[in-house]
Amino acid sequence: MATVNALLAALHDRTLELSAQPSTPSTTEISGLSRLFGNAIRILALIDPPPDVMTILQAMPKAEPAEEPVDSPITTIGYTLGVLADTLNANAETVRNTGHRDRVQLRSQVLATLHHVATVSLAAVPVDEAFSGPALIRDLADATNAASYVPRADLHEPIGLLSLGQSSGGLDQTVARWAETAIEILASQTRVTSYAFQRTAATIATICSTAAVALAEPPSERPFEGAASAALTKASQAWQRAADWPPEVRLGGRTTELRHRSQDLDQALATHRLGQPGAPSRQAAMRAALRAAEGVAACHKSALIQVINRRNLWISVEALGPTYLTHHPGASRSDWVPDPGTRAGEVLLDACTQAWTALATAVDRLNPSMAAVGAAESPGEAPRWETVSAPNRSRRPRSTTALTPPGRGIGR
Amino acid sequence: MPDANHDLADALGHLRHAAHELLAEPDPTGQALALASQILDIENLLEELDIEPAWVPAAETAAGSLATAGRLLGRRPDIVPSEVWPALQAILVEAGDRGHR
Repeated sequence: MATVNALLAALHDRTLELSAQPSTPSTTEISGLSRLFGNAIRILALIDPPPDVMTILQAMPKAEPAEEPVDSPITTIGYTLGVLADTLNANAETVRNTGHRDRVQLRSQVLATLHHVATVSLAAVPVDEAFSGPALIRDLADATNAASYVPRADLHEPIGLLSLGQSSGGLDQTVARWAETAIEILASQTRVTSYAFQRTAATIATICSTAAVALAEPPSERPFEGAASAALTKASQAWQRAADWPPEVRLGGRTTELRHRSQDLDQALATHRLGQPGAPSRQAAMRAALRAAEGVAACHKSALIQVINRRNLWISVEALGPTYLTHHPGASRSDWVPDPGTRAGEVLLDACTQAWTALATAVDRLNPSMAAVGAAESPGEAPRWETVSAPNRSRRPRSTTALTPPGRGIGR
Repeated sequence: MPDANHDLADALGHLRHAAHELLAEPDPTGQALALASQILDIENLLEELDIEPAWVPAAETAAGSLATAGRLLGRRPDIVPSEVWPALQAILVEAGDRGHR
């Protein structure tokens, strides 16, 4: 079945078709409005509906559906909203736990559709017809006008990937996708950025803190899990420190895919935190997430060592102080220059090493239960993200962007 | 008025200070970490425009840096990616709610 994102994309396309059609809809086609409005109510009721719009929709007169199926954009939009409403209502808890931004985006897309439908229908609805309620449709067009200006965007996981017939629990998949992207980017000399280092460290910190909470939950708390929970809290704090790069140090570039994966994982972890406390599946999911985090952490550390050894970090000239400018009269205060040998890299690596050690300690504390769960889940199979060794980069071509003067573009 | 790139470069500099402030402070609830992650995402969006951050003086608080960044970005609504606005708005509110207004 189609996912929520696919349904929203289809809704957008059908709405464009409706707005672009040369003739106004016939009265028969308009009869599909009743279904359309009904399905819109079912969706909006889940996501903090605007009271004025709901009042208008609920006041709309009900119309008998056409005897024969009518092939029109209004009918198609009505059916699409119906599947969307079914999908969201089948996963109501996930929808309720979805973050503010995705809820706003979903609401805006439904309201934008209502706006275009109302605008087009207004021209077709004859005055005094039983269904028409032209004043209501005009009110609907006005009340939904602002939403029609909101740019369309896909929803994050898990809500964006919900579909009928599938369970909503997708933390494992979301973690796996994040880890795969993070490792791919961290391992690439030409693609790794300060954002990649900071964001992966921040995500590992979030995984650790979420796991710490999950493991401390009764009724499944056991002594070793309590110790592991405390160690995970320390690991989270350590990774937060590792995510903290001073503003005068950077490694520029684009890392769009990692941003999307990280946001998806944030959302999935937030949803996970709101799940049933102490549920075994909840704790198992966090153990799997920790295994993935370990793999990313290993790659993070080896990538940072490579970047520092190659002096690929860039430092703000302003932060280097007047002595640097005295010795480099051509430099401007606003420039970023390759690290001339400051302690910046050393400080970053120290924080990363401490974080890595803290995570390893926490996982060691958890090992009795992780081993048991791993054996129960997949006998004879090693954990997927057990160890990731640093890729051999000695034969790779040296990054050209790393040598690009900062004034010419990406300041790496 | 300074050119658009100058405003965005300054805004990016202030966002970097805000993330640094949040990540450096004690964070028992994880809220500062969550906010900093969102700021990093906005920085990443701006870097997609090939904006190089300017070195700017830090405000007294993360919320102060965020507010300055918001003002600078608000001067250039035509250039700033639309994805930035809801994220920035949410961050400004949350940072303010944490007592950093």
